[in-house]
Order: sequence, then C-alpha cells, then structure tokens
Amino acid sequence: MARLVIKNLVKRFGKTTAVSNLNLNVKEGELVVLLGPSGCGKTTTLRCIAGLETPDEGEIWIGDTLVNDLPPKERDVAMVFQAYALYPHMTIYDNIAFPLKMGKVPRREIDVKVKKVAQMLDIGKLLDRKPTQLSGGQQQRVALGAAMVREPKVFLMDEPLSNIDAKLRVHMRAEIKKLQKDLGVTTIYVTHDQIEAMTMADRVALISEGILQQYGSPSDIYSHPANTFVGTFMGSPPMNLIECSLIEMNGLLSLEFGGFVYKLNKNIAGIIERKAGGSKLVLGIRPEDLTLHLNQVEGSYEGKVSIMESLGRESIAYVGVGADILKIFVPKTLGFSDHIKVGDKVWVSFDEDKIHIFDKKSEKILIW
Amino acid sequence: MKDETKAAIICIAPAIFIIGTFTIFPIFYSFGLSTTDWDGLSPTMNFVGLSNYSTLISSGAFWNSIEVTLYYAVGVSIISVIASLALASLINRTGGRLASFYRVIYFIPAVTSFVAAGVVWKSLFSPAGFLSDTFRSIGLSPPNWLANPVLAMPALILVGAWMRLGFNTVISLAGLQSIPRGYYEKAKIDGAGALNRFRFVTIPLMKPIIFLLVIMSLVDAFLIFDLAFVMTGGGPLGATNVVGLLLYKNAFYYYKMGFASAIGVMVFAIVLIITLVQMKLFKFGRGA
Amino acid sequence: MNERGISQATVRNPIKRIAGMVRRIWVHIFLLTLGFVVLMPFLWMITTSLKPPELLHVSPYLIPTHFYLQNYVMAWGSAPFGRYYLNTIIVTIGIVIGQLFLSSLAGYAFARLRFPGRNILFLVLLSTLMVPIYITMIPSYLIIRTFGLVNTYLGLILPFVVSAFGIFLFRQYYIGIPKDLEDKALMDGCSRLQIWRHIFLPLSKPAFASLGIFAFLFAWNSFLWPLIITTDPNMWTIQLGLAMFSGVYGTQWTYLMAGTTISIIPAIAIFIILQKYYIKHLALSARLG
Repeated sequence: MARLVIKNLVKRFGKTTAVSNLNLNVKEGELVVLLGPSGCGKTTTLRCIAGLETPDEGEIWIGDTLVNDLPPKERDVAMVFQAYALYPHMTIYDNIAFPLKMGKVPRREIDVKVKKVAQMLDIGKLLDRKPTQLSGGQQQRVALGAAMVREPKVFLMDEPLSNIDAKLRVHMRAEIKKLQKDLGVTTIYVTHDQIEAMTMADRVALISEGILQQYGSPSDIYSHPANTFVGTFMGSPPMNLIECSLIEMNGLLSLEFGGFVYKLNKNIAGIIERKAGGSKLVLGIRPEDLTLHLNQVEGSYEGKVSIMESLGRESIAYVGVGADILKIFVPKTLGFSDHIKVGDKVWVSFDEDKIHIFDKKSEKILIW
Repeated sequence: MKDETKAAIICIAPAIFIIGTFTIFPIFYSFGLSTTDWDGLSPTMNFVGLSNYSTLISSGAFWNSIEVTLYYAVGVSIISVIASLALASLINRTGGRLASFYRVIYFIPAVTSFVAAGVVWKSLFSPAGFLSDTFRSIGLSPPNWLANPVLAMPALILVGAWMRLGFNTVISLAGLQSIPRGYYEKAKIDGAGALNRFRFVTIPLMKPIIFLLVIMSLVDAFLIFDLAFVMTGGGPLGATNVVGLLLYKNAFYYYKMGFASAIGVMVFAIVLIITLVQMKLFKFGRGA
Repeated sequence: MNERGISQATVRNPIKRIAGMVRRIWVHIFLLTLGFVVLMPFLWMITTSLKPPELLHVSPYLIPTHFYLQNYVMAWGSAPFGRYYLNTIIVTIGIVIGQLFLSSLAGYAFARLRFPGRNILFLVLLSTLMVPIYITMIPSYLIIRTFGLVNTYLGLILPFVVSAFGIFLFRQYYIGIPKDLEDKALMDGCSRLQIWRHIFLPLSKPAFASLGIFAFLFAWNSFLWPLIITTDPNMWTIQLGLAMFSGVYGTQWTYLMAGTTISIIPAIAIFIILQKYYIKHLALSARLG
C-alpha cells in the first residue's frame, strides 16, 4: 500500500476538458471516493491513475514513484470495472489467476494465492465455473478477487455496484468497506451515488465538470458544503436554496426573501458584512433542518402546502413560502404528518445553527 | 502509444507483405507488362507502347470474348436472381420451418467446384448422355448441345445459374426475412392482395438487395474460367471463349504475356467500371 | 401474427386454417420437387459411379441400385487420386491455417490498436477485394517462377495465405468485444500481443468457423492457380486432377463420375457440418457488397 498524490492533473478529449487542474492527496490505506454526476471527469481521473489514459498535464505519484510514463502493469494498481470485465472463456480460477500468470508467478504459489482470495470472498465453490454461470453479485466478488490477488499498492474501483440490484448493493457496500479496512489498501472508488460515498468513504472528492468542488470527510462535505453545487448534490432530497437580498433593517443585517425577513444574529452578521461581495445571497437549509408547525410560532414563516410525500417513517412536505417551495421533513413522531393536506396553511421555522449562506454570484459558501 | 504501433506492425506485416506482393504490385506490373511484347520466356522484352491495346481493340477475337462473357454474365445473373427471389419467397411462405433444410439443398451445387460441375454436366449434355436420352425417350431429337455454337453458351448459362442459385437464395431469404411483418399487415388491412403486397411492399424494400445480387452475380460470372475450360475449352468456334480463357491461352499457350497482360488490364477496367457504377447507383437507390 | 406468420384471424377460422395448411403443403411439395431437380445431376453422378460400365444406359439413372465399387478403385488408382488428395489436403491446410491465423492477427490490429495510417491502410485493403484474378495472375506467376516455387506447395499456398476478406471479418468481430476486457488485460500485465493471444484468440471460435469453411472451400475448389503453377502431374491438386482425368476418360462415365464424387465429398461433408457458419459468413459478405 502506498499513498497517492495527484498534482495539477489535466486531461482533454479533443476540445473538451474532462479533468481540469485536479489536485488530490490520498493517505495510505484511505478509501477516497470520487463522487460526481455522469461525465464529471471522475472515471477519467481513475483511468489516468490506472494508466489507461495519458494525462495532458500534471503528475501522478504512487508512493514515491512518479508513474506518468509507466504502463499499467508496472504501476502495481488493480482495477475493478463497472461491468466486471471477467474473461468469459476462462474459469473463475483462471480469471483470478490470470494476472499472476502474466507476472510469471510459479504455479504453486498462484494456487495458494487464488484459493486464499477465494476463501476470503466466499467464492471457493465457484472456482471451476465460467463467469456466465454466476450471478451478478458473484461475478462482482470474482472481479474483486482478481484485483485483490495481485496485492497491489492501490485499488481502483469504477462504480462496481452500479450493475447490482438495490438490496444486494446495501450488503455489498458494507462488505467492500470491511474488506478494504481489513486489507488496508489505498483505494480510489468512483461513484455517482452519494449514499455510497457517505457510507463508505474516509474522504470524498466531489467533482463537477472536471473541477474538484470539495475534498473532505463525508460529514464535512455534508454539513459544511463549499458551494451550492456541493450543498445540493449531497442529501436527498437536496438542500433548499432560497435566493435573498442582504438588507439592513432597524440597524440589523437581515436577509430578505419573498416578502419575508430573516434576522441574522450578530456573529453571522459580522462575518457576512466582511465577506459578502454584493447584496445578492443564497440561503441554504436542509429539509431536516426545517420544522413544520401547524400554528404560528415565533420566528416562523407562513406558507402553503403544495405536495405531501409519505415515505412511511417520515413525510416530505413541499411548502410554498414566498416565492420558493421548501422541502421539509416531517417525522411521523410529530404526530400530525398524516393530517396535513394540500392547501393547508402551515408555518416553517429554520434551525439557526444549520443555515448556510452562499454568495449568489460565486455560489461559494460564506457561512455555515 | 508507441507500444500499440509496434504491436500493430507485427500483426499486419505478413498481411501487407502478401497482399502487396500478390495483389497490389501485380496490378502495376500488369500495366507495365501490357506495354511490352514479351513472350514470357525470353530474357529481353521490348516496349511497344499501347500497341497491344490497339491490337485488342481491333481484334475480333477480343470483342467476341467480351460479347460471350457478357452474354454469360447477364444470363446467369438474370436467371439466378429471379429464380432465387422466387425460391426465397416460397421458402419464406412455408413459415420458415424447413428453411435451413432447403437452404442447404439448393446450396450444394455451389459448394462443389466448377470443375466438378463442369465434368458432370458435360456428361449430361453429351450426345449419349442422360439429357439426350431423356429427350429421345419423349420422342424429341436432341441437339449436340456443347458442339452447337448457338446452344453451347446457353448450356453454360444453365450450369452457371444452377451453381449460383444457392448463394443468391440465401441472400434473398435473409433479405426477405428482414422485412418487418408490420408492413405486410398494414398492407393487408389497406386491402392489398398477395400480388399487390408483393409489388408494393416486397419489391421496393428488396430493391437494394436485388441490386446487390445482380451486381455481385454479374461481376462474379464475368470472371468465369473453370466451367468453360472443362466443358467446352472455348469452342465451338469461339462461342464460349470467355475473356478468362482468352487471357489464359494468350499467356500460357501462345506465349504472348505482354498481350495477355493487356487483356488482364481491360478486364480490371471493366470490373472497376461496373463496381463504380454500382456504388453511384446504389447511393441513388438508397435515397429513393 | 404469431411466429409462423399465421394471423390470429386465420387461426380461429378452421376453414381458413386448413386452406392455409394445404397451401403450405403444396409449397413444400414444389420446393422438394425443385430440390430434387436441382440435385439431379449429383444423383445421376452417384448412381452412375456405382454402376458397372455395361449398365450405363440402363435405368434406373438416379437411384443407385448397384454398389459397384470397382469404379472407385479404378479411379483412385489410375489418376492417381490418392496423390491429388494428399496435395490438396496439404495446400488446403496451409491456406486455411494461414488465413485464420493472419486474418485474426491483422483483424485485431485494425480493430483495437491505434497506429498511424490505420484507416487508409484498411481502405486500401478493402479495395483489393475488387481486384479480379486476371490482372494479378500473370505477375504472381512470374514472381513464383522467379523464386523457383513452381511445382511446390509453397507456390500453391503463398498467394492465398492472407485474405483481405478474412481481415475484414475478424475486424468486425473483434470490434464487438468489450473494451473493458482489454483494459483489464492491460492492467493484468498483458502486452498488446498477449491480449490477442489470451483474450481475443480464445473468443474467436465462431469467426474461425465462418472463415475456416470459406477458406477451405476456396482452397479445395481452386483450379486456375494450380493450373498455371504446376506442370508436374505429381503436384496436381484434386480439381486439376479431375479436369485432366475427364480429358482422358471423357466418355467412360462410370469411372469419371467415381472420380468426380471422390473430389467433391470432402467439400460437401464439411459444408453440411458447418453450414450454419457459412451462411453467417455469406450475410457478411453481402453487406460488404
């Protein structure tokens, strides 16, 4: 295992820049998730680390070695592909043994290693079969095995769980995470699924359009998003964004939106005054940080229910407040979630500690 | 990706070498040879410019060759394409259950060589042969097919079409089976009977395939050699002296390699023209 | 409509159903009869080959009732067909293996390797498919003669050991193999050629069958090239031998048909066994046209 460092990585395809000046520092044994929507450049980055693509600019370091000019086989990295990439004409045994065979490892040693990996992944009974005879989950484990058997410095995983059905995915997430911890191998994991990122990552690198948006622990990225993209990408349903203007009222800085005013407390006001580039701001608040009230409560804003979605354990209320529709979690425990109807008048209050204020133009966070 | 280039060189070098040596280089060499009077044996050859070509153009034998070859090619092409379309339609009609079986049956002649076919048919056509016997048995007096200048080529055409039938039927069948049933159903609903459906659905949709079949059969038939060599040797009186035979005889019997090369170049030109015309027409056909 | 092309309305109406069945039976009868007619020459051939010479003009003509194998013994010995078989087998094996191996390699390169000039080279390759043998045969003959390869197996095999069509076929086939497998192989430590050897080659069986049978038939039935390359009767291939045999035994049909049968049996056998692949191959060559 080794650490991985990416410096100023740039990769272009024709006129489009897939990865733009990416810098990433991965610690030994860490599981870092490259997260982002389709086409954001995360897979391209992964392939550059693997050696399947050549960077146009930048450096990739694995351990103490600059690997830019090394072909994949000399980088000591192993990759698990989205569609498993199991050789259909070989048995499972041969599939796992293949990289060792290419590395001219003696046959007896190959046998020991393959059987060990098979046992770890509980696929020992499948060794004589061919890939087409296996289920999706089994194939996936074989793919993992073929990567593990090489005992590489870095594991690369390209959306390994996308082709697995939802229920199995939950189980596999935990398995992969445990496996990674047990083996202690530095791992780069690509996915577009934020839940995978949240549950599996030591750190998350959120990428959009080739640019790194934020790099930090899952809780960090969730609670302290660096910009509106991060704020809305993480969390489901996404963070509510309310466009507002900075005004001064009665000597206090406040945010005005849709006819409502939110008074900023002194600390926040101070910071905003210093950092704000203009008077147009965006207030961000997550659905779980809003509270729905059936009666007017101090500091709450009046709104009208436009949609109610019941998820069993909780409901999501879509409430029109001013010009915005806010998504609000209404836990069953409150007791009234079944009684709210579309069109009802309700009141919404904000959890002051949890508001995020972004600059509208730069979309960057000013305060959380 | 220098690695890829190195590997590619290893992979394609043998192919490039062989094709370069035995296809590409010969094309140019033939052009060159055709401007000489070389006999294929002497250590020297003389440049004669385009005189071989002028000889060819004024040669009755050459034009006769072209004529009979075209006669053969067009005959085989038309007969085999029409027959194959009919056959394929019928096979399709049966609901496709025995389709593979029929395909194999009609294809067997195509699998045997033209030499074998020629030998068998020559025997059948001979005055003491099966066909003649059959004629006599129904009271007709059979001609000596292969010795008759008028009937020799039709006999060859029959054999040629017989050989070509299987191939064309396979392709026609594939084409017919690729027409979505929906078109026929709609036509039926619109009130079209079987004949009209054939006319307004089958034929238009099969146009590209029919065109393809005609051209392929034509070019392939134009290159006939084995059959003519074995069945008639070019006679009687040059009635079956196809271009291939003419070239062969000039090169290897009359020792006129320069002259024969000119014939080769002419054949190449003819095939090229047919192919280019086909490509142009095909584009229009596609558009329509 | 259901798969048999019978509309639902027809299925329900019993009269229509019977009429449909009757129609189809007629079509089958016609097709079978026509099939019989098409195969008649071969039936005659086999029957004649199994008749003692005196019964040549005696019916039955199309169904063997005698099994006079003397004709075959005679044909085999006199020609000598045994020698022709040997020659043809050697040449055919050479051509088939050559074409399969080299087409696979080259097809792989065109499908999966990036190298300068790839597209132009491929177009040139494809264009050679249009070139008729008549413009290449004299120079090819001269080349073979210059290198002393007249009357040799090498001379018979060499010009055909590569097939542009085969390269096209393998390229098409290999383009369909998922790129992931290649990427994985690269990461597993394979060189480009090892990828061909360990991944593409083992997956090539259907393409091998398709090209293999086509190459076999081409080699087995080839006549013109052996004709101009061999002057020594000991080097004749089977088609050449048959043509010469028919020149000598022109009207002794019982022997002649025995000889002919001998020369076409392997081709027919291979075809019947592998016909599925051959038909697929045809569809591809049609698309190419």
